[in-house]
Amino acid sequence: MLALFPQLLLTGLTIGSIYALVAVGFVIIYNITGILNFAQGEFPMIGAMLCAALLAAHVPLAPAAAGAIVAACLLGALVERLAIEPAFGSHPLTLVIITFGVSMAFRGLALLVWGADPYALPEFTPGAPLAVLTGVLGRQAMWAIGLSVVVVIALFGFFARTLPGAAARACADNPFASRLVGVSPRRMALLAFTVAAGVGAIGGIVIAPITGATYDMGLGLGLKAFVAAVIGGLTNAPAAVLGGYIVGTIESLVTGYLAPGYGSAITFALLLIVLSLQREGLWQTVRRRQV
Amino acid sequence: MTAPLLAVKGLTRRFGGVTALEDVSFEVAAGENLAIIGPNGAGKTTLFNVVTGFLAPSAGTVRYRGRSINGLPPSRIAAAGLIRTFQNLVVFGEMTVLENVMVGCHRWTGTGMLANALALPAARREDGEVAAAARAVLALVGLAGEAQAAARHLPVGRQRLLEIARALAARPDVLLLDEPAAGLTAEETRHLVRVIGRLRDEGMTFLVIEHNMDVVMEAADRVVVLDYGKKIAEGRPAEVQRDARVIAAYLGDDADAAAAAGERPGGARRPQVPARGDAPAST
Amino acid sequence: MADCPAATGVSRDLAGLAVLAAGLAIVPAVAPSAYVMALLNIVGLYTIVTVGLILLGTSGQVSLGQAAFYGVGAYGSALLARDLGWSPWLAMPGAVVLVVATAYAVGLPALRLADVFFVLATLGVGIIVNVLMIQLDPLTGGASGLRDIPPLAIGGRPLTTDREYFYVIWTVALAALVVARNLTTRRTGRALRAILGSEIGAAALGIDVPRYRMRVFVLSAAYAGAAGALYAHYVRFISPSPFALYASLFFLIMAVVGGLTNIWGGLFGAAAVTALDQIVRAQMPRLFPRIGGEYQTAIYGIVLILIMIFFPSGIARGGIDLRRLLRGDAAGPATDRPAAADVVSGGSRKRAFGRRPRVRSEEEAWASPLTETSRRPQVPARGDAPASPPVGTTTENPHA
Repeated sequence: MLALFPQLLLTGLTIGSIYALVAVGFVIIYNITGILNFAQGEFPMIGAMLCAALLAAHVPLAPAAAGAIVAACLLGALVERLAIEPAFGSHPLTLVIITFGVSMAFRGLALLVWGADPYALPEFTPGAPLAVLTGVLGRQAMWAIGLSVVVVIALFGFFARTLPGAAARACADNPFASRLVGVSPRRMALLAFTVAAGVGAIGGIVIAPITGATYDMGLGLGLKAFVAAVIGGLTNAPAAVLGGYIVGTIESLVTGYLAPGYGSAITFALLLIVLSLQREGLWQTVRRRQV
Repeated sequence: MTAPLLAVKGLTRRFGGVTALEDVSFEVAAGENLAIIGPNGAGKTTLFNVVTGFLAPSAGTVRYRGRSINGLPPSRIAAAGLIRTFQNLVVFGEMTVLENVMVGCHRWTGTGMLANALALPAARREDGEVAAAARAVLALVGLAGEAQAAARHLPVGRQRLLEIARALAARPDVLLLDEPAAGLTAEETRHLVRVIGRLRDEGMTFLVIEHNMDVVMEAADRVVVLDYGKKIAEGRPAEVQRDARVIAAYLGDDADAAAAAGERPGGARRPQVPARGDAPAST
Repeated sequence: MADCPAATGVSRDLAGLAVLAAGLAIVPAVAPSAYVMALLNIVGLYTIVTVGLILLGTSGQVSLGQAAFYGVGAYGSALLARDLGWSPWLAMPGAVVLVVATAYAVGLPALRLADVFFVLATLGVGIIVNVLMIQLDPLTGGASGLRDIPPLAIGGRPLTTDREYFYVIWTVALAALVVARNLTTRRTGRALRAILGSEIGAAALGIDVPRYRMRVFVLSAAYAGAAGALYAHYVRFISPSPFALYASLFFLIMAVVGGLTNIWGGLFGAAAVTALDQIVRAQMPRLFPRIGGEYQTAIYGIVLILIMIFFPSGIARGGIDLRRLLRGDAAGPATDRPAAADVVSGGSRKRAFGRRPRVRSEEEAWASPLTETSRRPQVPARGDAPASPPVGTTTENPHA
């Protein structure tokens, strides 16, 4: 029984890496715009499907992946312009419902364009998996975990060190004041959605060789990433990443030790527990603000 | 000596490291109009919030009709007769002016959800009474002409009157007004003072936060002055107006006046602008 | 009493109700086919759920978990009738009791959360309940569902035709509409709308906000549960799939189309969306022969987006607003938009793009009007009046 543990843990970390990436995109959008974007899970789906489509057109892996990521970024920007921007100023709940609509629209369109069958993507670097304790870590899984860490560090660098990143942080902190110094919240929103879409697409492309790509993988990803983000406190990107790994691991353990179907239920039970216990996630309690 | 209607004793409220209210005590007798004044950030609204149950006190008691109301939820306190208005208006924007005031009648009506769901005759009768009462209040404050207007379409001055009308509709025992004259024109302010005066004559008890000295001087029986969360003076309006500590609090430091009042010998300069930039927003 | 504001509304609604009842009474006689009857029965059931959801919306709350209550009602009644031998007429109320208990259990923690997080908690509950339906195989029949659910019977004779169920379902639907409509008027209706407008303002007038919110939430769950129970005995076979997340979104779309605060919109929304669904199912295979699966979600997604952007108060209401616009009265939907998002805007000035909703509603609810004259400049949400009066303008020299 215990022998299963390392493998389940590894599987959990692998799947957790994509939750982490999607959760990071979630947190970026939330911090900058205050919107909970439930279409976030669709970006991995789009990235994976587009990459698969390009590969089917005999484009080599690297350009196909890059093309898919760029296309996903464009779609993210399009979503912001068409669905979010017109509702600027609405109550956050209205916007959440709109993002659900976007999620449904993408899902339906993906079904129309690509059909219901799963698509397979090749591994980045085919080869023998690595043996870890009593478990096995596939090469693609290493890519997944590694890339997620790299992307998070890169994002951190972007937000901390570059001017657009600083502008975005200013907007997240105080949109009114940032408007006074020439930062446009609307443009920052566009940036947020574009970046989040790209990050999500990376996650989708890197995980698809392991799990396959289907038109309906988005909703589950989005919801679980939301749980991850809430666990991490919704405003804290590194914590969201950790939250992603936590969700992935718990899901994997539950699937392994209990029945497969309970994974989602436990994840959401976790969400409900976190929501009712914590004001702002497990991490914020440590740094509670004055007043 | 008759017992006071409302008695606040040793009331203290802290937010983390900030003490918004410190050991504030005063009493309000039935039929009295007590004004609370003080520079911005002195803790006046916090005082209201604690008295009406929106915030719990860190220490001290609030007694209404002799019984402690510490820690009761705001709706319970309001149902007991302590009705307040808000400085940042909370009119129900999507409802008409008349409906807003009808909501005010909630506390003295009794139709439950079941009776309402079944549209029982008693419920329908009560609704008619509520409408009539609401119209009467609107006439009293001078909003009768706008009864069917959507509340959010009213200018701010009229919205203030609406909030007061709504509070009046609740037939309060004590009416707590938070800066009722803010944003009103001179004419509207005079009208407000007249309305308050009329209600006073009928025996209503008032607790009013106000900056507008005209309102305070004309309407108040007694004044309590807060500064930095502490009560620094109490008495009749004319006395308080001449009190050196009060003057110092409002006008900033005249070193002599401050020393004479025993405050901060060799004291630091106080900012002239009443708004306090560093204190937390909710003081 | 004649000038009581509710009076004109009441007579208008009573008239509409009479017309509706009369129309419904003759439908079975003129209906072209059993298919149409079955469709109308489904519309009736969805109307019940949607009206419950809209009732919840009048107090400013949205639930994405109605499918869970619908499902608990269905499974509850099915199991009580089939496995415990109860008469369906007892099993259905029994199932509703079960749903009410579930709703209380869910509501106690969930109602303390701020708007958006409350919605997500209901979403989570919906998913958990759906998973349980699949996993608790011995009880619920798992993914294959429950068969042989006893039908309703009157006087010993079981109801078998769509026509017979039509009368039962629509009687319940009408009663549900009337009760819901009553609850949006007079004292309760005003209290609910006051809560929508400002929870703080409502509490300051003596309205027990938590109690009202809980009761409305439980009631909306009861509506969904009653519809589910009827559904179980009507179709006599249930499986977990109609009670999944997409069903909850579907109900939300119906509520949104009808107008999240407009009770009669429940009927309109259920009918319109069901009609749209039928058209889509009929036409899509012709345009895209390759597809299987729920392709209509794309359409619904786009519909939902468009409605939330342009008609947040619902299409039915949007129609009425357009009429007023044409008459030259107060602003139509476009200008009203920031205020017309009836779901929760009410009197509050929350905005996305920089305003972070707190998780716990105590924070959110008590935050803004309790601060003193704000030194933070507030961007006015509405064109005319400034949000807070200028600081200190009327401070006068105490010397004077």
